[in-house]
Amino acid sequence: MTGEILVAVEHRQGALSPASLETIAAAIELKGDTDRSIAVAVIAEKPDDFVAQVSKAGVDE
Amino acid sequence: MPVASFQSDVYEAAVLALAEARKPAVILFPHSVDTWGYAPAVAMRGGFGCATDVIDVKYDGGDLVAVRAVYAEKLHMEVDFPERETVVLTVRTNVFKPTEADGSPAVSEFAAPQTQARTEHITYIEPEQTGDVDISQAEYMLSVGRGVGEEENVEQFKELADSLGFTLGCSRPIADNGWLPKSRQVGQSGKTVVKCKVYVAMGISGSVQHMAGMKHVPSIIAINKDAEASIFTIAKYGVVGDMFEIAEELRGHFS
Amino acid sequence: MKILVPVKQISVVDEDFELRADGKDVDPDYLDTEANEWDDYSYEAALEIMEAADGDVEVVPVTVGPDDAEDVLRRCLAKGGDRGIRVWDDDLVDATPAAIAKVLAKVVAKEQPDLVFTGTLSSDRSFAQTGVSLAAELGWPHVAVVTGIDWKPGDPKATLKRELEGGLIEEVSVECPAVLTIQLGINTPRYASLRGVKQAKEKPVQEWSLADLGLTGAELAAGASFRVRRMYKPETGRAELIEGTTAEQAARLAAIINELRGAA
Ligand SMILES: Cc1cc2nc3c(=O)[nH]c(=O)nc-3n(C[C@H](O)[C@H](O)[C@H](O)COP(=O)(O)OP(=O)(O)OC[C@H]3O[C@@H](n4cnc5c(N)ncnc54)[C@H](O)[C@@H]3O)c2cc1C
Repeated sequence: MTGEILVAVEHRQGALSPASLETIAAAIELKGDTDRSIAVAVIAEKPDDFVAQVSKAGVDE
Repeated sequence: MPVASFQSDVYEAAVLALAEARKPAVILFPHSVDTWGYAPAVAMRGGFGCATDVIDVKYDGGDLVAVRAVYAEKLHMEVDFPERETVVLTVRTNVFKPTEADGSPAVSEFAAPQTQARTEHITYIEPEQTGDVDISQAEYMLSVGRGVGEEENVEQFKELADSLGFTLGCSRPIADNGWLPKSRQVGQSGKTVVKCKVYVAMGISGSVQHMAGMKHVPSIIAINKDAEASIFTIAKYGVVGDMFEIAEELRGHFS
Repeated sequence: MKILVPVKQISVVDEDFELRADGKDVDPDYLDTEANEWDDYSYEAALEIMEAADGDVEVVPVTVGPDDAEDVLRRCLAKGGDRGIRVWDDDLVDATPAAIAKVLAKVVAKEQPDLVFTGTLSSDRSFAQTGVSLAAELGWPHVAVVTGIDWKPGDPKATLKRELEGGLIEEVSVECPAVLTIQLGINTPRYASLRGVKQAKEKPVQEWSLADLGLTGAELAAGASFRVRRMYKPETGRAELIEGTTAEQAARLAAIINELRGAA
């Protein structure tokens, strides 16, 4: 079983929530030395605004 | 349907469609008010395993294992998810440290399914800025919790705080009862005391939501009659005892 | 018109406790029971709507719990409402939120309420999962962490306040029927009168088993949210405890406070 780790981040009033970055950190820790990949999903009308902010080292997609 | 603000129907449909397309092993969400309002529904509708307010998560062999706190933070519970292809976890805030390092992941677009939302955003209402103090700027605080017992008792702690030169704060039940203004409430749905250096907590059990606003304070002093209260796990100094008796004695030192 | 209010008897651990033989929960001998604090608010919210509607709305408390959980129903009925429902089956002992949600969904199917008010969370296990899971099982719209409700019988939509982080409030509307999870502070829960407590003893409580609801223990177990591996007392930080008489403790505290704030 090598399913990926999907992270659903959140934003409010145009800002990404700090907890979102913590959740990405949890994903990176969980990934550890497994060969799973991490995908971060931004659900938004204009997701582009948030993409740079969630592009952290260790995130694959 | 624009999704400028949170709508559970739209979010649920989007995550379920992603899960259907990608078959993830785990879906992680922050444990926040919005996800309280949709992560469990994603799990239920998708037939996924689910654990909320997770403080640790790891693989033990091939098994996904999550840890969460129960019974007023006094115990931990370790859970796994046999035979679940996908598991939904919501992650407690202030536990995992965000990475600073940026990366350059691939970016792809995924069209969210058309969903008729059955909730509608009307407006946001900012918390009232009463003319009272701004506790987020206070350096020294004394907060009272439900242990204060009755409204009449609040005043003596206000006086004690004044004599110490400390700002009076409170836990949620005190603000909900209207014994102190909401602007004095410390915690997740109140204020974070970002500048605080010394925090004296009297008759406060130490719920996650309260700690969200003060856990970072370098010197926490807790006074509680329950030796097992979780506030003692983050305090530097503690007194197991009655807050009224201690307050009575303390008064003599600061008059 | 009807509002169904799921309420729960929660467990509180004693200061000293032991774990169950299987290590997966606290030994019940070391657990006290209490009514869940959030449910005082959800029940009050329903009673307020009932009273404003002047006889047009019925409020029904329901609990999933063993015999002694009947107390939480009586406690509600002492404040108002004419009857309660209790669902129990030994297969529900370690039920996860998903299982409770499936049970409640069957109760909803039988009772056909217009609204369901659950507490936002229950303070023993703090999942904050049951209400929204119930809505998902029913396919109903839902709003979590509600601190204001504007709804009259017959309204197709309810206008609500949702409490977000930092005290921010969002006003939203939701189509009915809906499940709302109710947050602390939405109202000031009443106390029962002595007369109410007495009357509540006479009010009927229907008792249903899983079979009465067309469910089986095996089916619920298969849909469990998770499986408990173990429970344990965590290694945690520990405050330096100040010992002595109250006077000595206060003197030491005063010294610490003075030192920390840099005073003489
Ligand atoms: C979405 C959400 C947001 C929330 N936001 C907040 C928030 O922002 N801030 C917040 O505080 N809470 C918040 N809460 C509520 C939180 O879950 C707790 O209910 C609350 O923090 C409990 O307050 P407390 O510690 O004062 O009361 P309790 O948990 O009842 O604790 C009272 C303590 O006082 C002690 N005590 C009693 N008498 C005495 C005495 N004479 N001397 C010494 N000790 C005594 C008891 O041993 C006990 O430990 C939130 C909850 C939710 C679900």
